[in-house]
Amino acid sequence: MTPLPKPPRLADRLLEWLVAPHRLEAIQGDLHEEFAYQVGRVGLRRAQWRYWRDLLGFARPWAVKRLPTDYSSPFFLHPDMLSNYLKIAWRNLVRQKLYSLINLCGLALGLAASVLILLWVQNELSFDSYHRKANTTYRVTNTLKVSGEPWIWSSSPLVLGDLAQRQIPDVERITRFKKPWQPINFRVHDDIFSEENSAFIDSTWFACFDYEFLAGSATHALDEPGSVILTENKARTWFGDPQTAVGKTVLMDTTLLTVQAVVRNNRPNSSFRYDVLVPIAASFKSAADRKNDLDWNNFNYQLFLQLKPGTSTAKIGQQLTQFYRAYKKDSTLTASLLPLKFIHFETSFQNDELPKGSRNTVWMLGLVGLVILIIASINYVNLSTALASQRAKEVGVKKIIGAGRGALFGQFLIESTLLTVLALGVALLLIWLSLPLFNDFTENQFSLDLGNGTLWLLLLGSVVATVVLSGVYPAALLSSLLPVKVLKGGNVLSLSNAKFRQGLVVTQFAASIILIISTMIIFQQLRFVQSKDPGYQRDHVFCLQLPFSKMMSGTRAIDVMKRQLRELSGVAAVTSANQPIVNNMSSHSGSLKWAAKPDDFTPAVSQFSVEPEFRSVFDLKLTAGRWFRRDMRLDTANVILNEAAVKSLGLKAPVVGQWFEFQSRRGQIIGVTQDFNFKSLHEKIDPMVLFDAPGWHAYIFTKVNPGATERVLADAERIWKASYPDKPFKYTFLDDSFAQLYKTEQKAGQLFNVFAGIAVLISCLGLFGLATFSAERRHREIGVRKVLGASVQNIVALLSKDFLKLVLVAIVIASPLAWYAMNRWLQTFAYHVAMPWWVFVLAGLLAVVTALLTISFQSIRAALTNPVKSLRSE
Amino acid sequence: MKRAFLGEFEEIVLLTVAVLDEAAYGVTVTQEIEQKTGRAVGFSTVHTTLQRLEEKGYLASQMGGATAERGGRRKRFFTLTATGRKALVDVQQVRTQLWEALPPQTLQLMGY
Repeated sequence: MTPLPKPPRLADRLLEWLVAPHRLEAIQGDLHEEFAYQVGRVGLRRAQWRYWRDLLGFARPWAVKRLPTDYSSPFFLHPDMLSNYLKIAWRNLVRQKLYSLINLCGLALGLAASVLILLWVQNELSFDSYHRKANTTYRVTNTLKVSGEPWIWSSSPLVLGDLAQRQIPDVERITRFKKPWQPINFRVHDDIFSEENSAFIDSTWFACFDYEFLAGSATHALDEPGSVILTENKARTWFGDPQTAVGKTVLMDTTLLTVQAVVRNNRPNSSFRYDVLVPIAASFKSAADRKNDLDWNNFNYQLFLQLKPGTSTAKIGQQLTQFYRAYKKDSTLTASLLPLKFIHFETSFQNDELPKGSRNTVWMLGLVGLVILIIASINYVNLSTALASQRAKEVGVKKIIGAGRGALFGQFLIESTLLTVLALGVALLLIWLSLPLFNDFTENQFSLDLGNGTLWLLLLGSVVATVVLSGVYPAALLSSLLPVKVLKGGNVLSLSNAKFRQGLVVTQFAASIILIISTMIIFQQLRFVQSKDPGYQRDHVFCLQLPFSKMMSGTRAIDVMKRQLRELSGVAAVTSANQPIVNNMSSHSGSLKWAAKPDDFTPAVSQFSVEPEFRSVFDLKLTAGRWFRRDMRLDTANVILNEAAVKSLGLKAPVVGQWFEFQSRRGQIIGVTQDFNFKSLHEKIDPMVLFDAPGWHAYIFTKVNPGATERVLADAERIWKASYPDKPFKYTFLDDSFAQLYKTEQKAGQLFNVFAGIAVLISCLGLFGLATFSAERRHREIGVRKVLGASVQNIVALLSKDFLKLVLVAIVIASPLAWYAMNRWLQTFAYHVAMPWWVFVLAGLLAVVTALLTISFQSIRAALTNPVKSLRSE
Repeated sequence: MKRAFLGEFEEIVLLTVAVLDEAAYGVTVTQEIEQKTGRAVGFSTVHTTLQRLEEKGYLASQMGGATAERGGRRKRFFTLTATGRKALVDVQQVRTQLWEALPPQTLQLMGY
């Protein structure tokens, strides 16, 4: 007899799941019999189809409904079961106080750290995307390419916007803003406020960008040219109360402005950090000002276009470029569009003052946040699998009573969820406590605003991630235990599980060690940067920037001020230049000529306008020739080059004495200076031309005798107030502005320091837990060993050895990884320390010592226990 | 007297069970109906109807012995209860009465 064809297996399984057990036998039997009959009648294929159809017909209450039984096995998410899980979870937490505390602390720390990081990462990644029309808003980018490197500007001429609005039909709306050259002074009652964060805006500003109006309205706030719009905070500082600010008047220099509206403070993820907004029209004090801005050559405005949906940005860019060809008669400029959302990470602009982010930093910190969360989760995984033997009996009994694997899995997952949620509570407290510090540090305004949907999403996401990372493996492991084995006694966990746990400890420590090494190298590099001789003296020198308008009125004002400063007691020397020496951003190409210059060579050089006294103040070294001198009238046409310039311009020796034309003045090269770092050490020393043109000077440098700083500053302020009563006195010490150059690195270093600390702390918590567990489990072995004559040292070594091995493996794994990552980071500096090998040794030692200290507490306690205690219970 | 209410399909199923006597279970009932009436009936429909009739008290069921041909699964055999038999008789009586009340010319037209 041939075997009967079988009905589809899947259908049969479905049937068994669907139909109540007490009905199943008869129905399934009938179906099978019918199937066999149908195969004979209509063939296999059609019988199978019929089988499926018949089967689905049994999805009816009478067939599906189960008989009530006395031994019910409720669904594992049934409220009764949930309350049971929670009760058991709670009892376990309370019974294992130490382990629960370790888990809770680790998870809370990890959650707090990673939520803070995520908050920041999310903010960075969502820059400017909250505007309703963000997807159709673009900023015009202008690229000038004459020779060599292109110049990329974020600003455009004022008239370009008008043309775009009038002549390009696909442009729905334009809006522009310009930042004043220097802080504007506002007179409110009798107080003068110098506002760094002010901007002049188009009347369409609020139609393009979303602001929340607390007083006044978006549609009418900019109706009058004499309006001013304030943020909440600014209105509070100026008037005390944001609500009463509307209608009040302030004086901007000589222009009277009325507060028309108050808006909610700028969001932390907004590129526009301006607290005082004034219509563009109010920025023109005279017809000449206006004419100046209408000139095609003045790129003073950031221009934003809102396009109709579906418009090609390339086409609009071409049209804008055509305007340059037609109106500016310029063929070297091209315009293109940059989506609003990309502005934050686009750093190729020469003059973009909007706050910039770095994708690298965002990803790096995001990774660190994830690593910390993983380290914290590993603690939970390790401790709960180590403690599995204590839960094994519970699992065995439950399985025998009838709990399924799924139900047990659910139970253990709910346990880890409970712990994570508890940890989240603690984490929220930690975040709340550290948020002011964090805000201060990142210069942001984050808040634990529980009405914020994104925050909830972040918290939920972290909790889910933690539960998945920490809960799934232990739950799967515990629910897989076989009741027979468990209840028979003996070792329930296989060797591979212990290996897995060791692997996790290695991962934890490797991650921590990488963070430690990175921190150390970052600080090494920063120390190097701070202490490297830049080639000039910058101690005790402070710098004043003259107001732009005074600078234009000739060199007299600056000379007067320099003379007054020089006469002060305690002042060693005074000089001036066009740029601060710490970070000279002024560069030039085009007008350079010299004897052997090839025709097609138009190099870009940094330009530094100095004066005869400049050299002695900064102690610049000359390698050839002489410095500028007061008694040489012709020196205003002469230049001094740095060594890099001599090299890159290809000048033949003798350099000194050759003719050189610069900025349309022909003179001689009178000297060559040693290279000095006039930019951050990220960059190589560029070729530089130094020349003596007092008309360019805007910065006064005053060298103070040590100890006289406070007196000199007070006197300098008096002098300043006498000359510029309406401008605030602002000075910067060169040391400070030098440190400012490495602010991002400094911050990254400090952040890494903190997070490395947290990572180490969490890892040690876990190690402590494991050490405790291992000492507890082996207490009889230790007792026997002591009775047989083992010394305390023997026992401590015995208990520490296993863990130390893991830390050593972690060091071996971490070192090359850290080396690779930090080598890449160091490459971003043109001048950097050699990879310090001792950092790896030190970090390794640190890890070993920390681990030893952590373990020693438990191992020494175990070694000192009287063996009678551990052995008498046998 | 309250008369039993039987749907048309219920009546057929009930009758078929009666016809099959001791051998009435899901498969035989379905096949019998298909052969006798020539109409395709859903397997699950028959089961559902058998179930309903049992709930109404017209049928009783008991599990048979183990069988070889269906993986050892037992069959659920259905038998008529007294109420079931009475219901069939009732239905039959109503029909007869109605037939007898037919006018002779109509009967003639129908070929009687």
